[in-house]
Amino acid sequence: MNMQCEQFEQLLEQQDEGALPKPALAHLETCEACRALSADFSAIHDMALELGNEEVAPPERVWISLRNQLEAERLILDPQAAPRNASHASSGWWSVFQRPAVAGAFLGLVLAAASTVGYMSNFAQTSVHSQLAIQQETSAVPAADSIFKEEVLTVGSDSIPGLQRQDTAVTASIRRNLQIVDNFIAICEKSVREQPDNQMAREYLYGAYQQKAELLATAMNRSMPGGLQ
Amino acid sequence: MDASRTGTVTRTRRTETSEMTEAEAIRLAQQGDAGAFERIYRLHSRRVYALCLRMVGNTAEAEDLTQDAFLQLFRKIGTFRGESAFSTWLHRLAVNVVLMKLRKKTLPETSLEESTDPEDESSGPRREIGAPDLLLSGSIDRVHLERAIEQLPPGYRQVFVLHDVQGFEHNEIAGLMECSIGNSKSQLHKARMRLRELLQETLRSLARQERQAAKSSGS
Repeated sequence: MNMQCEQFEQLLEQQDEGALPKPALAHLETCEACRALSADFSAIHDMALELGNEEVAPPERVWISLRNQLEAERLILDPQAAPRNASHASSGWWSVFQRPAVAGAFLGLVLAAASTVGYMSNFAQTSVHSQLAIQQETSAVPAADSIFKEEVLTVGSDSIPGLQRQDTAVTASIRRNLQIVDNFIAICEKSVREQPDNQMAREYLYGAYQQKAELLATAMNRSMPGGLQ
Repeated sequence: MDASRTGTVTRTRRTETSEMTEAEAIRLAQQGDAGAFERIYRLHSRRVYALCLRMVGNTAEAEDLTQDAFLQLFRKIGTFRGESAFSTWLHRLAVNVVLMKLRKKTLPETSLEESTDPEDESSGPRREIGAPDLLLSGSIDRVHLERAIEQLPPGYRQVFVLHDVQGFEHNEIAGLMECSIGNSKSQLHKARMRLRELLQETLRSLARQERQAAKSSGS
């Protein structure tokens, strides 16, 4: 790089935008390298401007978590929302889930546990989704709790005969994952009992129920003759 | 969290508030209205999240920062008097949140002053004599550029995102980052130089892959 090129680069750094002075333009006429540099900077700048107009939707958990925090800080003063505030100040174990990243990470862990078995039952997903949607719109947690307890949660890995007979690493993995989900359900249920109006607590409880249903569906599929391995 | 389920939860409320104008939402949010908070969030969260994502290059951190930015916004919304555009106010606030976080986190390893020392030959990318220049214009796309931005050192990335992506002026960046205008210019220049190198490497790699593909299809 000769002196002129260095000067040109310094000028480019200081000038940033707008027309280059005449000496710089004259240098560009004769220097291919600086011409390329200048053109590349323009290309990068133009492309970056396009990036600036792009928008990216954050995951829904950010809003859920934010709303929870707004309620905890009593920034939301809705008559319906106000009573919630007193009940869940961000203390204790639940405050861990006030951060979307932490909550997401935990649910990610639960999801990863489910995915280790390598199969998600479409049937189970669809039916559980439908149940959950209906329950979210129409009922409080106790109702959902009783339905799941009767129909799903009382079932454990030991209740599936085919699974008991199998002694594979996958079966062991299913049992471990069921244990993880059961523990999480217990924590969520405790929280919902303590804070019945806590929307986020209910969200996590539903998510945990769903994971359990999916794991059980997978386990049952495996226990059937010709089921997925 | 399952997005389809959370979508169900918020759908009803969203339709109620979607008709609200921004000015109405601000006024109601100042009175603590939940629907107004959500309306403001829905209007601006995509932009704020995109900014956070580009500044930190990490989704988990970007989510936390987005939450922090809106939390601060809603804490201060009572003080908004409409002298400036609300989006500008929010945007600046979001930038401040990100920068504060980054400053706390990365100060020891990426001091702005340190990396712009003119005596430090290794502080920035240099042009090599006789190095062949690949012209980027028309060859790079947004995906390549985004990947290259993610690879920038944090100090370079912050100035580049603020200036070239978000459109802040050097004097504004200097104020936000508590550095001199000269520093801001110098960081931007080095960021562009580094990006150029990264993008040229990408182009070379793509060209190599094409040659290999042509070779293997020929044989």
